[in-house]
Amino acid sequence: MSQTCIEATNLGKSFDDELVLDDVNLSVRSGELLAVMGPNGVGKSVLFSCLAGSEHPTHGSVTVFGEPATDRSDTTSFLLQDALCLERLTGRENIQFYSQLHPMFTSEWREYVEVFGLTDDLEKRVEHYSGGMKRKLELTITLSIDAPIYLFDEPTAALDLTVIQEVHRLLREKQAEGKTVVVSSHSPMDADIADRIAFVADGRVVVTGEPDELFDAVPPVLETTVTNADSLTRVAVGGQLFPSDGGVRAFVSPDESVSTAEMEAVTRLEQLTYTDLFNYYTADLPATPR
Amino acid sequence: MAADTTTSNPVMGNATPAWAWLTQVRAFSERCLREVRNSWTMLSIVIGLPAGMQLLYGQRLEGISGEMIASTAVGTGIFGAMYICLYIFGYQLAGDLEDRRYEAYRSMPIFPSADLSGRMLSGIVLAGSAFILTILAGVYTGASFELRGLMSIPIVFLAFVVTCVFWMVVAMPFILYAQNERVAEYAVPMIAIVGYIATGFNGANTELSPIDGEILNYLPNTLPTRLAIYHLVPGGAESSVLPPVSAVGPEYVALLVGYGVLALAVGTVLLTTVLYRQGWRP
Repeated sequence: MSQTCIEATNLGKSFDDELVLDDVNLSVRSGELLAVMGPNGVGKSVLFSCLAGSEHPTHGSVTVFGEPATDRSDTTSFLLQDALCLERLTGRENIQFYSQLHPMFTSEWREYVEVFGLTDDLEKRVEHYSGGMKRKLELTITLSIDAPIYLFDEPTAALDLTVIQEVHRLLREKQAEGKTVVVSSHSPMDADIADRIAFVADGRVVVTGEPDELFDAVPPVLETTVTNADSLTRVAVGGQLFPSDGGVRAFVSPDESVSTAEMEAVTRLEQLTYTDLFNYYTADLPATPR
Repeated sequence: MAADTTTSNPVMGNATPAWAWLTQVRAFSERCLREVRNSWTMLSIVIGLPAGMQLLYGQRLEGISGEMIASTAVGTGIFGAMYICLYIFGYQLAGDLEDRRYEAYRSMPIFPSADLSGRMLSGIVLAGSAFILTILAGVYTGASFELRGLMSIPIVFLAFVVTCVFWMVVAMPFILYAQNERVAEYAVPMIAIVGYIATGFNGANTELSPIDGEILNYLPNTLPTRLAIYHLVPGGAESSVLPPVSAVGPEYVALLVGYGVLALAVGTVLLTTVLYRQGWRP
């Protein structure tokens, strides 16, 4: 069994009396790729700042390799959304700044700028970059730091599909080198590469597990057309429907699933998606027998 | 698979702490200088503001002695240094705060003292360039400078460096409180303007100052200016440019050093505790 490299215990974080994280418990195993999933604004970025040692917990603790995260600054390489790039410098000057700043910065940045197609834009000032180019530059900087743990806050936001696949390949590559990779996202695509997934809702980690375990715990899902939504609402857990491609979906208890199987224009889905998983664990649904 | 976290030095990799510190000083310093080079606004303030002011004054000061013009140039040069330090140091620090860059810095093995030293070094270089340009503008408009003695060189250098360090640190509480680039750009440099006007060109032309008497030998903007004038414009000190009696004794140099030490201490504590949240470790 893998040892734990990051341990958040009863972690709470408030800003100006506003509670952002509340009793978060999370263990990150050495060498794993963990996806932390949750809707926007549930506290994922703050959680990552606490894991990186950038923020002191208001209560509880975060340890990295057994020591308080805030006491160690050599263990993580942290991509914080839109915070790394210096707008008035060129891409190359940004890389040079971080290469001087971080003693563990490596020459791998050359490979990453090539992979991300940034080579021709390195002499441009970052203020003239698009959102996607800035994210690629941030990824280049973060990936070029040699650290045992990589924390990526929304690494694929603003990126197109091809680049997302390239990012996933690079994250897997880091994992293959024995590094621990933790990725936050609200995109189900990013869950696809994870060994384990932790779902965050309302400032808490509501569940953590391997994808198969998490899928097994999801109750049956029914789908119907938008025009037939009312009939599904009556049997939906918590009366809550979720949009899907051209229709709506709902979670139902196993019993309801049987009794509604013959409902007109309602289909029971055999193959659930990460979106279903995301909806189930992050929506405020009442407890369901599974 | 468990990740191997062992390195030759767990914090600095293969670099010695001293080398890592120096590299980080260079990182912050070069980054600040590059940002100024890439910004027409900042660059034109460094090159044009105090030197341009001196050229403007010089044209209006016809019939005035070379010593008086030189004294004014020193006062304006010190004003330029104060303005540049308040504006550029404050603006860049505010940008880092506004963009949450210190959250990223805190996750890295950065020496807070290297951060402060790097920023200050670039501030001194920029302010020094502006000061030299202002002195040259003074010469162009008829100022006559002369070194009082060999000791004048380190004393003027000390006065200038302390001015830069002191006013960069003055910017910090405002920036830490406001965390806003606009405040740094427009409000904080006003401190230099108010100080310059209220003390008669930083104590160079005391008859223009509403503040009279000995106090002009003790204020953090007038003390270095008057020391620099005493050492760079020997005739100025004797020709009623500098009433009251100029700040010439070692006690004034000691006070200057005191200002510098106090500023460095406050700056280090603010950066370490507020921005890096490391308690009292530098």
